Amino acid sequence: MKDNPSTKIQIPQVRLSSTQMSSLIGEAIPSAEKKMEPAKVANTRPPPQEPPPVEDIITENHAEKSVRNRARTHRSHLLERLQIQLQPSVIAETKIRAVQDRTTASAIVEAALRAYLKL
Amino acid sequence: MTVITFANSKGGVGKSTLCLLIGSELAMHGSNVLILDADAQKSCFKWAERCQKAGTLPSNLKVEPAATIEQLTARLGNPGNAEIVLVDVQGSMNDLLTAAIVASSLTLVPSKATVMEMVEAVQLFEWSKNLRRAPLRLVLNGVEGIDLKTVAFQDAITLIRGSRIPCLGNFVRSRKLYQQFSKDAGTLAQISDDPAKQDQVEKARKNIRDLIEDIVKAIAEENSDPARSA
Ligand SMILES: Nc1ncnc2c1ncn2[C@@H]1O[C@H](COP(=O)(O)OP(=O)(O)OP(=O)(O)O)[C@@H](O)[C@H]1O
Ligand SMILES: [Mg+2]
Repeated sequence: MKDNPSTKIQIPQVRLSSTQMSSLIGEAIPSAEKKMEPAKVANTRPPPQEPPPVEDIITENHAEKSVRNRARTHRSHLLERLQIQLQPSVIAETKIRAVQDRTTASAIVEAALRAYLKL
Repeated sequence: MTVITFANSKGGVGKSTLCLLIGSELAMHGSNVLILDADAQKSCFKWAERCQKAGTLPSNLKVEPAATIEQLTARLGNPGNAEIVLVDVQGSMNDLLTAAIVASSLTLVPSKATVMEMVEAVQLFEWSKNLRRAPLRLVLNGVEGIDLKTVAFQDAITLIRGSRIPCLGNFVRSRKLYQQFSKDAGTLAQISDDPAKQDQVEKARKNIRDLIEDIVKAIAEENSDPARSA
């Protein structure tokens, strides 16, 4: 890249149409499409629109916490949904092994990556 | 208009810092840049507010909060004169992160070349395979000069390159200047106008420009490969 700061950096322009975007989002997040329907599994699923409006977050400290908590619930929900692919036990195993075996960083990286990538 | 998201389910990996560094460097080179801050912490938005107060915010760099999927998609659908939109998301799995990833031409996943950070990043790559369209690139961030010589680091690099995780060729070094930048109120050049530090500033900016060059290549690759994009 030229170091001349006056040279404009050309970024390929690849814009999605609004239709493409909403179809991709709707497909990836079913709740984004069906947000008018009541949540079916209220205990595991946070409200579909999160985090809440910005004004609510900046003024109230506890509001920020509630956003983080909801994100956490959501995260566990997602992980649950993806458990087959992700095998969180591998992470725990790696952590434990690092402590127990005083193994090298390179060995753990290798083990973790190989496990995840099924190499 | 091109959209790039900065995401990692792990916090504190440098998403906001890289988003602001890349956004401000692109703006310094004349692009109209819009940063959408989709993290409740609003690190980018607060940085811009500080810059605004200090009078250092480039006029072609705008930073706005986007707290919901609706706000994000509305702005992406109507980006004004922005040529490039950068989206900074929260360091956890949530719908806003998913929406930002699928709506982007490229998602950068910053990670340190350490064990747990790599595992978390790999998790995100694995998860993204469930999405119809999710071009992701790993960006090694916070790399110390000393790391480069360690076996652990070299092994990590070899593994990444040999694995199916696409990674940008350049990595971001750990620099005091980057850390200062994320807490200060101005671009890299503005926060360190000490002539004795010009060399450091230039190296720090060059690192970001090299990264942008990789990003440009990655966007082009993803765009020309019909198997990867929708
Ligand atoms: N390359 C780097 N060199 C030095 N410091 C860095 C670098 N990248 C990030 N940092 C520092 O690391 C800290 C975390 O970075 P940052 O806030 O950008 O992470 P994040 O992923 O956005 O975190 P969060 O998940 O909380 O939003 C900051 O103090 C930042 O200044
Ligand atoms: Mg951040």
